Amino acid sequence: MWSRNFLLALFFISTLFSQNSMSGYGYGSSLENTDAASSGVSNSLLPSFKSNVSLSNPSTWHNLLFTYLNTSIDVQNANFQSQSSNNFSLSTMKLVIPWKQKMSFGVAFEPYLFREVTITDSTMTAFNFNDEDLFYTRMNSSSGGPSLGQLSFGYKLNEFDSVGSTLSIIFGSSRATRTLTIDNENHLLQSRDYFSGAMMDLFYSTKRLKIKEKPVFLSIGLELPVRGINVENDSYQAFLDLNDNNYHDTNDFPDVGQALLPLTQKYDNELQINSYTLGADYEFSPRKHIQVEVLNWKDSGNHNLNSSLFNGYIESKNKLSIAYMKFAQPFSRDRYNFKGSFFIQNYGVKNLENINEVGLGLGVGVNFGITGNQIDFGYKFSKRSGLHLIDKETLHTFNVGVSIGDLWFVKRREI
Amino acid sequence: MIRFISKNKILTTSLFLFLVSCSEETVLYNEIENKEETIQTASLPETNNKIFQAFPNFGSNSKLFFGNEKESENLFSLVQMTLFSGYIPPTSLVDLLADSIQVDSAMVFFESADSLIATSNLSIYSVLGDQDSVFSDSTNYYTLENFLDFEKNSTLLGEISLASILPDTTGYDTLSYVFKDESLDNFKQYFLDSDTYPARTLMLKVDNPLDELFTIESNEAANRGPKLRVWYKSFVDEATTIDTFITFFSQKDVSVFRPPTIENDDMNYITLNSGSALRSIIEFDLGFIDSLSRNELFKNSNLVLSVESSNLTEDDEFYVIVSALQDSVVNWNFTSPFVDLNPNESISDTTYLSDPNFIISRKIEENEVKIPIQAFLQGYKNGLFQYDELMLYSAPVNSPFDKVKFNLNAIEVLYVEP
Repeated sequence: MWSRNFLLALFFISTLFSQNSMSGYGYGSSLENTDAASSGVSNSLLPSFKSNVSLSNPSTWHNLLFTYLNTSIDVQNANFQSQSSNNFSLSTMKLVIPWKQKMSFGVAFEPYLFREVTITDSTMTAFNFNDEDLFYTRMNSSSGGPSLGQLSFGYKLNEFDSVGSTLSIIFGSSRATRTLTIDNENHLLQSRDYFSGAMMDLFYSTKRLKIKEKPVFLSIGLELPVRGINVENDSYQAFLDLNDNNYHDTNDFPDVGQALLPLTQKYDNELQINSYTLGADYEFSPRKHIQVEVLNWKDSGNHNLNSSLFNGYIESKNKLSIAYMKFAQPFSRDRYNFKGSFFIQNYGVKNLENINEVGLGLGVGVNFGITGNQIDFGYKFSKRSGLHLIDKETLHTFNVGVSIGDLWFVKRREI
Repeated sequence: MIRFISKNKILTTSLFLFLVSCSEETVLYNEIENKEETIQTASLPETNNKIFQAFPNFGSNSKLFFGNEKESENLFSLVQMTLFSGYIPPTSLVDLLADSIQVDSAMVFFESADSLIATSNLSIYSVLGDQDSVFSDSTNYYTLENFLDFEKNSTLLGEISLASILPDTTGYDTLSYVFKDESLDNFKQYFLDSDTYPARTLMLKVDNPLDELFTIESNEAANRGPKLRVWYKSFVDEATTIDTFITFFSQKDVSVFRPPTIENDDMNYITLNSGSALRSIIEFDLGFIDSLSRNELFKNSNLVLSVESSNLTEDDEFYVIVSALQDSVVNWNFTSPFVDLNPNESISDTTYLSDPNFIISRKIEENEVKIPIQAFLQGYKNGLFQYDELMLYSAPVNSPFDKVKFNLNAIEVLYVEP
C-alpha cells in the first residue's frame, strides 16, 4: 500500500507547478518552505516539524523516533492590479528514515522552479494591409519547470553536533509558447527547455552555545553546485495552427512535414546556485522558541539562453526571518504546534528593477497517533513590489502537509 | 477522535490532495513588448517572365469536339475500336468475315448531350492505316505531320444529318450509323477486315463548317463512349443457326483541332490557352527571404492577375493553375516544341515540370484572379523549392478553346513572427 501510493505520487509530481509573476523571471520562480511545517516559521534550518527537527535540515533528522512520509501541497492566490489567480500544486514529497537516533536517510521529490505564467496584449492592434484591417493580439506563455530528486543523509557526531548533506538531481523540462492571433487564426512558436544538473547541500547543527544555561540551537546550510544546471533548448519552427489543437501536424501551415527541423542548442551552466543559510533557535520557555534565520543566495549562471518571458533574472536574494514556535508536549493532551513569523526579502534582478518582499507566516501542527503522525497547516501572506509590468503583487499561500509515521528497522515481536 | 483515523484513510486523503493539486489557472499579465516586428510587409518584384508553348495533350478529354469555337477549328476526331468484342468467347472483328458467319447489319453509335440544328452532316470514315496504332492520345494539330494523312488515307463509310440532335429524358441523344446492304459491304471490307486494315480507326468529320461547338461523348465518358454493334448469323451445322449480335467498344480517341494562333501580342501578357498549351512563367526576386528569421510565417500573399482580354462568355468559368518548377528557366524567350530550336537552346527550354509540392488553382472572379502563394514563399524559405519562378497555365477543366490574357499586378506579401 505504501509503495503503491508512493509510486503514484512520483508519477504526478512532474506535472504540477504553481505560479506567480516571478515565474516570468529567468528560469522561473522557486518555492521556499516546501513542507507545510516550515511554512509557518518562514525558515528552513530550524526546528518546526517536531521539537529539534526540521524536515528541511537532514542534520536534525536523527532526533526523529519514527520514519515519516511527508506530503505537502500548497494553494497559492496571487493578486495584482485588478486580477487574481489561484493555483494548486505539490510542494514536496519526502521520506525520512532515522536509524538508531544516530543517523538518518531521506529521499524527496519536489518541484524546483516554476515557469507557469502568461502575458497577453491588453488590447487588439490593427494592421492595414492592402486596404484591409487585420486585428491581432499576442500571448506569451510558459509552463512546467525542472524538478528535484533528493537523497539526504544526516549523522549525529556527538551530543552537541550533527551534520547532514543532500544531493539534489535536477531534471525535467519547461515549455514556452508565443501565440500571435490574427483574425482568430493562431500562429504559434513553441520551444522546450530540458534541464539537467546536480547540487549539494551541506548542513551543520550544534547546541554548544548556551544562554542562561539553556542551549541555543545553531545551524548552517551551504548550497553548492556539483554540476551547473545545463539547459538544452529545442526551438520548433513557427506555424499557423489551422486546426487549433496547439500541436504542429499535417493540417497546419506549413505542413509539419515541410517545416524546418527543431533547432537544438545546448547551454552549459545556465544556473549556478551558491547560497548559505544561518539560523538560531532559542527555547526561552519550555517548548517555546524564538528563531532567527538569514539567507544569502546567488546565481552566477551564464543565462545565455534568455528564454524567459521577462528580460531579466534573479541573480541574488537575501532574506531575514524571525519566528515564534511553540511545540506540543510529547505524550500528553497538548497536541498542537503553533507558529508565527515575519520575514523580509530582497531579490537582486539582472536587467530589471529589484524586488522587495515583506511577509507574515502562521502555522498550526496537529499531532495524532502513537507514531507521532502530524497534519500541518501553514499560511503565508506576503507583498512584493518592484515586479516587472505589474509592480505590486500580494500572495496568499496556504500549505497543508500530512506526515505519517511508522517504525522501521525494529524487530517486531512474533506472535 | 483523530487517533481513530487509520493510516490508510490519511494516505488516501493525501493522495486525493495530491491529485487535486494538478489543476492550474493561467495568470494574465498585460502588455507585451516589441510590437513593431510582429507583422511586416514586402513587395515582390517581378524580374522576368516568359510565354511558351508546351506540348498540347487532350487524350483524356471526355468529349469529342466538332465545329468552330472561339477562333479554334475542330478538324476531325479519331476513334479506335477494340479488336475483340466484349463477350465470351472473344470474337475479333475479322472473325465476323468467316464463311460460317453471315453479317446482317452493323451499327456504330455515339451519344451526345448537346442540342443541335444544323445543315451539316457528320461523316464517318475508316482510316486505312496498315499499322495497329495510327494515332496516339497526344496527336494534335501540331503533330499531324508525324502521322499518316488521315483525310487522304480513309474511305467514307456513311454520314448522318445533324439537322435535329435533341437529348431525350436521359439527357442524351444517340447518333447512329447503320450499315446494311451496299454500305455493309463497304464496312466489312474497310473496317471489319482488320487483317488488311489493322488500324480499326474511325474518323468523324463534319462536311460543312459548323459555326457552333458540338460534342459527343468520348471513350473517357463512363459507359457512354462510342460503340459498334454487329448483328449476324452463325451456322454451327446444317441444322443449327445462331442469330445474335456482338458489341465492340472504343479503345482510345482524340479530337484534332486547330487552336487559336499564337500572336506577337500574346507575348506582352500572361497569356493562357489549353488548346495551344500556351503557358507563362514569372520569376520573382525572393532575395529578401534569405534575410528573414526562421520563424517568419508568410500570410496573405496573393498573386493577383487582372484580365486584359479574353474570349470567355458570361457563363464561362476559367481556372488558372500556378505551380512551382522543378527546374529553373534558362531561356526567357518564347519557346515551343513545334518551332525549330536555335543551336544554343536545349529541349529542356521547352519542357517545364511542375513541382507537386506547390500546385494551386483559382477561378477568375470579377475580371480578376487571386492566387495565394504563401505556401510557395514558405516552402522557398524552408528550402522546399529552389527556384524563384512560378508557372501559370490553364486548368484541364477549362475549355481548350478559352484564351485569356492577364496583367500581373504588383505583389505585396505579408509575413509575421509570433
